[in-house]
Amino acid sequence: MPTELEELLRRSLHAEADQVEPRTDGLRRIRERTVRPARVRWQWRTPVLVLAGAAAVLAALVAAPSVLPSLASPPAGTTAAAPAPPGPTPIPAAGVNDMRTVWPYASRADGFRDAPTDQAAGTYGDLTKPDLVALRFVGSYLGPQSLTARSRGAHLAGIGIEVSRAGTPISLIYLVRVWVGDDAPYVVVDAEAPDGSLTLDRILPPSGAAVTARGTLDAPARLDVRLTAPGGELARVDRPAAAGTWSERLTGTGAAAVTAWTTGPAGVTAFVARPVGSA
Amino acid sequence: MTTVAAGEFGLAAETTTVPVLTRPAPRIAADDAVTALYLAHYRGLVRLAALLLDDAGAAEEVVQDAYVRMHGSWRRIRDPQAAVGYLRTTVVNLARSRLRHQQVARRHAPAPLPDAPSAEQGALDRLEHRRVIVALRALPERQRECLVLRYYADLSEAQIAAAMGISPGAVKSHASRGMAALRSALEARRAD
Repeated sequence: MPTELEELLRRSLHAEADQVEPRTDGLRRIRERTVRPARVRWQWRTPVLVLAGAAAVLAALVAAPSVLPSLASPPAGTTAAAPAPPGPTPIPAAGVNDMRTVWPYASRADGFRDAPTDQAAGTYGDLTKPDLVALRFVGSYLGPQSLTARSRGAHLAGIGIEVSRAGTPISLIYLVRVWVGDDAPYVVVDAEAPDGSLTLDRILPPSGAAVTARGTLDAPARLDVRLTAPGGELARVDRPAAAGTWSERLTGTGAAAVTAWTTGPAGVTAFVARPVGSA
Repeated sequence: MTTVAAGEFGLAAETTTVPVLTRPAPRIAADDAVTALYLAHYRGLVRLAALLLDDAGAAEEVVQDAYVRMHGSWRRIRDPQAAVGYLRTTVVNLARSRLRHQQVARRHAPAPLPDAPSAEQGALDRLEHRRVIVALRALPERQRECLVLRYYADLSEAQIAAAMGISPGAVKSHASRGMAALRSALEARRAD
């Protein structure tokens, strides 16, 4: 039980802290300092590494000349190592890496390119408010519903927004900004059911025009699955589903995302989404 | 029609922990991590630093330093949850260091109290809060840090211990002595 002095101290600290409002250029100032030192470091590191590499090669040639043939061609019966998978691709001028996304664009790079125009036209409303983006995304599938949004704080490289229907959480929406800055629009990367009652596996790149979506259900429910492209819906399935694993093969050209949700007697109970061909 | 629950977005981003993931977390680039942690925690950390330093401008510099250091150490940290603890610890250490280097004599010369308030309750509250803050700033460094981390940041003893680099037992001791000193200081001021 807090004492009177503890309560007074708590109120005083919060009143004092609430008077402090940071300036809005904090991120830019941090960015300036995280970019420059890296370049400086490499200016002196590069020649050192080149010299070290050359010394290592010379040492290897002197100590083990018999290694040379094996470098020219792999021995019979062996296969060359697979090339390393490509790393994240930076979006030039955005200061962030590209990734597949669900809504309203098929990728972060598309958002970087198109969001300024769409923002000006009001195509998707205000994309700089992650809670509104999450609500609009879920609402665009479920139609008129009483949905509420609540921040779940930092989530991976972006922010998590929990969307609830009638007070019950139905989805955790993961969003990222399309460039660095307080004014940058958000895009939806994926969505999960907070209670895990409905899951949707990673969607592999389409085979031809066909996309296979699969996941699990922890109880029988009505299951809706949609295949979408930025221009609209490509295919849909709406059926009763039993508990356990579920799978649907959907067809459509230019597929960007799969969404799925379950409906019980009281309404929607879980909502999930994933980009097609996500890493 | 979609609605946003009033007041649910904003501060929650600073106080809610990162949700548990049901899939392995992918590697996050340091730049992206800085952006995410800036959006979620920058304001709260600046306010925390301002309480430790009594200087909003210096508080911002200290917190920006902490983010730059986190960016440089990201290969070792990686986890956003661990990064919040790293940022908090760095802010406490940098604030302490700045106070020492500047040899701030503020604790020996408390800031003057505001002019005599009106009889309104709000003004009385503000005066009382000001008295508490002035008394807090006169406390020894560790006691003041303990009380700020506990009663402003709402951290547990273990979290305070991690942020300050001391044992949980020492946290308990500093907090207890700090509260006793604060009580005496406030009673002495009332008696003046």
